[in-house]
Amino acid sequence: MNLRQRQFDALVHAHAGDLYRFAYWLCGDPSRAEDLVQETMLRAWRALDSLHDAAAAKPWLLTILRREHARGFERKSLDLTILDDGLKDSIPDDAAGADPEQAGSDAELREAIMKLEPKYREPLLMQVLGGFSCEEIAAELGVKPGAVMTQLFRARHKLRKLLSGDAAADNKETAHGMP
Amino acid sequence: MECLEFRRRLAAEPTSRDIEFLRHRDACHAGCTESWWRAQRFERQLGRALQSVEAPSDLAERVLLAQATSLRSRMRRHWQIGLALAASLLVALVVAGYAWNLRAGDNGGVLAGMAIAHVRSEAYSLTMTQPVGDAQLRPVFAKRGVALRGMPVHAVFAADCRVGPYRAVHLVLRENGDPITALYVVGHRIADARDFHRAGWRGREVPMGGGTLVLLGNGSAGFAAAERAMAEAVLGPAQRALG
Repeated sequence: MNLRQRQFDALVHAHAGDLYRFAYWLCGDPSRAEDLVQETMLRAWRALDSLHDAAAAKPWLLTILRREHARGFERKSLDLTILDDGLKDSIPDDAAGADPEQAGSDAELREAIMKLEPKYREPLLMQVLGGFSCEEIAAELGVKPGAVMTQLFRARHKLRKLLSGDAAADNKETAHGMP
Repeated sequence: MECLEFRRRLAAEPTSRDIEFLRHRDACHAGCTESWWRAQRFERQLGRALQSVEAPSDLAERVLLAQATSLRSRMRRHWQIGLALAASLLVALVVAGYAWNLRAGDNGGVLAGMAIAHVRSEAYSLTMTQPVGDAQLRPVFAKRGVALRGMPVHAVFAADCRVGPYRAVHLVLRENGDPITALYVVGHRIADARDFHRAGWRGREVPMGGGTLVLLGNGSAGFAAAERAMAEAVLGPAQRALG
């Protein structure tokens, strides 16, 4: 096995799971998520020589995946506001751990995440799962860092609002001075 | 950093390591510290929720399988393209070599082809059996500007013809066996004599005087005698050895 293939193998084993989760939360469909991972990895294989820093591998792969998803999203608009059966099936019942109260809370949070509009969910995923900074997200999405901060603020605000089920968060958002 | 800015930052980047941000967290007594802790708890919960999706256990292997399959498919495609290119190159080389060979042979190869074509067009000449006399031969040679210096023996056909673009004396010599066609092409002399085998014909091209003698037959057995006879006719008995 040559070095290039070894590098690719290592890349796949190290990041396939993260890519899948990122894809999953982007599209909400397990099959599509796996397809996205496959497409991303094939693109990564072709462009592997442009990867010089192992530390940059994950954001590099996530960026490829996000663009791959965006291309697909242009072709087919998905209904992302409904938590479909596939999503429910893919999340284990004990995902939140042993604490039943916590488990219930996490389940609600997962449902709330899927209810976020893509424009809020995408930067949030990039930040939390991908580890991107606001500046990096802004560069990737082609918007200003301030706009990304607003999207992230609103994403969290909407999540809290969905979880609490009250409208108080709206007032807090205004109080925090975000547009 | 003020509380407002801190909380805006906290809502957008709860895990920020910005030093001013962290200093405010530690110094503020207006509830920012508590907000920060609440945000961290929420972030942990958020991270846990996002990470809770389990990837298929064999995902990596499936990715590698797809990559290997794609790679092999591409390699096979490249190999096929390479093979096609190599075949094309080989064909081009063969064609070029053939063309070069024809050109390199100058009038030889081309002349042989034209001679065969001419004999085919006058196939009836090969059926002649009655000797042709001096009275018939001399005008034929004279018409082509060649003085007949000796009598070609066993000539059964004589005509002045055009072989391709060249003027020629067309004889058929028959001794005992098969007829031998002798075409004396006037005004075009090839560099070297050579035998050839083409399209079922045996042939010989010989530079002779100011032209070229082309002999054609089913075999080459009678070529030596025919060449001698034509050399005597064109060059004369004393000159035939000089060709």
